[in-house]
Amino acid sequence: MPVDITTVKQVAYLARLKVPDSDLEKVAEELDSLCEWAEHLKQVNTEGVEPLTSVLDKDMPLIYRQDVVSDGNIQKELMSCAKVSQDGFFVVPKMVE
Amino acid sequence: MTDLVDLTIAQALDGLKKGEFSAVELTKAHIQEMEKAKHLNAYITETPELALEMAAKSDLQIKKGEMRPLEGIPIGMKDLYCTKGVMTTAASHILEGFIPFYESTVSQKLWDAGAVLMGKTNLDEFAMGSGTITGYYGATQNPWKRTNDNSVLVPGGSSGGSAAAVSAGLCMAATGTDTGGSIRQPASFCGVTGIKPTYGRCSRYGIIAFASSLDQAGPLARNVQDTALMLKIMAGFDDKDSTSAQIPVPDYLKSLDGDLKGKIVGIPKEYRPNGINPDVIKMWDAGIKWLKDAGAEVIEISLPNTEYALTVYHVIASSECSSNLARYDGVRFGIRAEGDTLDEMYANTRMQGFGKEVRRRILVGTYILGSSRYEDYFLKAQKVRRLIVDEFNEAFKKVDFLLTPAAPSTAVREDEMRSQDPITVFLNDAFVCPASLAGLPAMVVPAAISSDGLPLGLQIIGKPFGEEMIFKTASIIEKAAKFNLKPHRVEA
Amino acid sequence: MRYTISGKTGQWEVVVGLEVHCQVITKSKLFSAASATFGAEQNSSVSTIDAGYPGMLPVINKFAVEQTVRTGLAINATINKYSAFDRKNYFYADLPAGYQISQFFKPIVTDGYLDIVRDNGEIKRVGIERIHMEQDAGKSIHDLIPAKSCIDLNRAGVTLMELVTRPELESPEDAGKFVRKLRSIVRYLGTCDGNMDEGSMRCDVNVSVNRPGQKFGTRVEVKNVNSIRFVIQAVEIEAKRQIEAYENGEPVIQETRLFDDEKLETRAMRTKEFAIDYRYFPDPDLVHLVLDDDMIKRVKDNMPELPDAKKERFIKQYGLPAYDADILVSEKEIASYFETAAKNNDAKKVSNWIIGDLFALLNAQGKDITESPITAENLGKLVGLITDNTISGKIAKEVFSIMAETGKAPELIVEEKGLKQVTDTAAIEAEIDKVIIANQDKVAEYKAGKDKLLGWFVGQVMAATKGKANPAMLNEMLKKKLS
Repeated sequence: MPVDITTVKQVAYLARLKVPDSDLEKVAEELDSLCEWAEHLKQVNTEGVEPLTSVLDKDMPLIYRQDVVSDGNIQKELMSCAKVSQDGFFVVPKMVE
Repeated sequence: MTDLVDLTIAQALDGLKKGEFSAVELTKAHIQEMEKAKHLNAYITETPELALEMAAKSDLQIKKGEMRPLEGIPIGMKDLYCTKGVMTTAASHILEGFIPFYESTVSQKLWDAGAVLMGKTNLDEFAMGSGTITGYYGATQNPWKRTNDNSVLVPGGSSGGSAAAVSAGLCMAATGTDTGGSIRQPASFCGVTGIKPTYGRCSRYGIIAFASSLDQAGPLARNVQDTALMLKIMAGFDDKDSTSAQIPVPDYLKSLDGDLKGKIVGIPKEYRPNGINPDVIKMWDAGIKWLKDAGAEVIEISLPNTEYALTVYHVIASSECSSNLARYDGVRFGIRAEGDTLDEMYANTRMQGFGKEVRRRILVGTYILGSSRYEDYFLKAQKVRRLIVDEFNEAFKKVDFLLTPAAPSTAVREDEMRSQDPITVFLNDAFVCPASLAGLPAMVVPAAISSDGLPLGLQIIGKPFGEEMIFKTASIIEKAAKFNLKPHRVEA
Repeated sequence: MRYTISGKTGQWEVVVGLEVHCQVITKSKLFSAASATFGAEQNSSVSTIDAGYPGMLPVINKFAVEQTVRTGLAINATINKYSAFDRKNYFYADLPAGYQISQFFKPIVTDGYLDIVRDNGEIKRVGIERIHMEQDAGKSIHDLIPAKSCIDLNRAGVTLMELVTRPELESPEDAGKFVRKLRSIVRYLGTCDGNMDEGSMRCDVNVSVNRPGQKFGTRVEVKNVNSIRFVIQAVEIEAKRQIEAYENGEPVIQETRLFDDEKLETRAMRTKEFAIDYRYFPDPDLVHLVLDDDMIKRVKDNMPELPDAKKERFIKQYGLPAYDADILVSEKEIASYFETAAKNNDAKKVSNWIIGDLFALLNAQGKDITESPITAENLGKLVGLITDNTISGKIAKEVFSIMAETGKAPELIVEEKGLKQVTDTAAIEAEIDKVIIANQDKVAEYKAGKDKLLGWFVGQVMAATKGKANPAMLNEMLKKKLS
């Protein structure tokens, strides 16, 4: 099933990448060929196979952190990395509610 | 003093201890080499002043008789590791000017062991590539050239900067990261050793994520012993990484000697595809013989799902990266391209900040994870991934480790790789990718020179946390191969 | 009889499901060791993990997990020994990593219920589909800089429990009662402070309407409903809107609407050009969350007594009517106030004083019971003074208001003001004699059969004793003297 331009636009929007209109066709083709390539996974019989998220899964339970406050208070450091900040806030274009 | 750059870490430590030279002298020798090798573009950021400062401290330690395990050893740090006070870019424009105020766990361990930072090594942007050609700061060149051919070769990727720097004597060892072969394939292309340890062996804390379920840190060095020295420091449990393993780190150096009596080596027949470079097969056959000579029994095994590994890898890695890279949005760090609305600011920043390959993978991942495709692609890939893991587990019931070539070919020409479509580029990783999917430790050790004068590496794939077995085998191969450590260093 | 709303064309049933976000009480955040408490300077309770800095990884807070397990046990749910975290991907300035870590595919708690008591005494069991853990987002402030929004990430990464009910609530009141009950429980447990006005408990309300006996209508989600009163109003208003639409032949579309608590309406949220697709997938930074039996047992063994059990006990132990017990257990603090005050006391009297005078007092002063100017011990003593006839009920009211003003102990007030009831027969007799001598005409009238005058005599003696004469004794003695 070929990828249509509307889908490419939606994907670009979801990924917040400004793909120029002139490139949409090309991106569609790329997605197409990648998916076509991925299609051959369908040859594999995976009936009853549980998907694997991590090679550690279930063998190694999640490590816990005790509920202790030992981080934070780095407002100055955080702001020093931000291109735009004011009074200890990160600043972005006005968000519409 | 130039011969200082040809020492192994073990030799250097010995020399430092005996006072034959100082850490500052050792560092200076490498700085000089870096000056000569600018054209390789192995480093994104060189830190000679910091290096001399660190070396001076090392000299004090040595004087006090408090020498640490890597005291005064000049190393390169892949620019994917966050280093406090030193710009960290992931070879991406989007992180230009980002100076972390925190340190990755692995780099901290290296500093605590006395290592000296020479600089941040080049890579493919966000480690997405197989040639160290996709980064914002330009491609890295392989120090090796084909015999009588001056064309520029890729060092492999994504840890190509580290591999090139180690190979060319710009540092004694370097860190890499391996998501689908990014330590091992460049090690093979540049004629150095490199190990991707078991997933969970090294902390990922402070290492910029590409694909979290696959990313693993590891060292590149000029021989097996140095690699073991590095890994011993880098490895270990970290309570800041939920995926790090609570398993003690053995002394890998102790496993370097001995034979393979009673051990069974598996030779997976799927690693012999059509069109494979005959030199690669020759090396592989030689490798099999060396292991037999060392007392091992060699059997052929089959891993039929190997052919799906690259696809599974790209579905999973693209999906994870599309999510991992969402944080680069111009708000808190890195560059920012303004826009009238929040969404426009995001889209402008990310379009300007990410290079072509990264954008491509983000789009692929975003597409694949879409609710209507999730099951067909992502979930399917996760299921096949389990089959690949199960297949390795089955094999390890019969064998102690696997021996394969590291790559189907020698280093590729840069212009050639640039003109290839993504799937052809992926094929460079066909032999290194399966172990990444299964989280298995795997090491590449240089084993031969091809007919056109380029290094070729053999790969040893071990059981989970079976790094000791791997080091022992690598050490046997290294001795048998009598590999010439130096690239020809044809001047550009 | 099921609740229905009358439309132009007949009766409609309402179906409501709730999604309640509860901020979990912890010291540190769900995945970082930054402080989870409020009121700090902007972006100061923030770690590099919360701010999504490169290379940062989440590590889960054990106590946050225990708090969720505790809540799960309290709603009679299944605690899943294997659960997992997923990423919900979307861009927003208050979501630094570009994804929220949540539990989409395998939540930690599933399949529970709560019972609510309807006004007619009927008990309604409400199914709870799941509770999952997730990260809270940061805050955006829009009026500090012109044309810009300011981002404060102090709240980003604080633990939330999201509880999702089945669509089994059948009226606005059901919805309100459910939230009230849930709030009471999380407060009992100490897993959430339940303060809806501060946003530590937030509701999304799913509403649909249908004709009796017919299939459910289209479900509409109403967001931003931040008090129990608003929950009730939102259900009512949205149900009526849908009924009107259906009756006017307009479609009801599945959408998300916002509740406007000033205009008392719901309105559709602006639709984006592209459909949102959250692209959920398991978070590879967090392997399976595995709960061991010991931990679950430990939490179970340390569960506090919950409202339903406490109500039963109050009825049995104190002989209270269900109505009283219900009110007294609605908040843990009220229940404990009651129990302190009722110690070795007439429990029903104590209950009356709490539900009556004390609540009126607190209401007037805008205080809750923990801020009561009258301690539970003192209220208990006051009731004790009435019971042992030290003061009369009437005097007690006076003492109560002095207690409210001064916070003093009742026996001290009685002592200081000389309010002790006169139970000394000789003293009362002397006062009676004085009144009789001074009012011979009234005595004659009484004796001639005007019985009603007895009250007048009581009043006279009471006035003379400043109300301190024991009324029962006085009555009896007067009758004797006048006969």
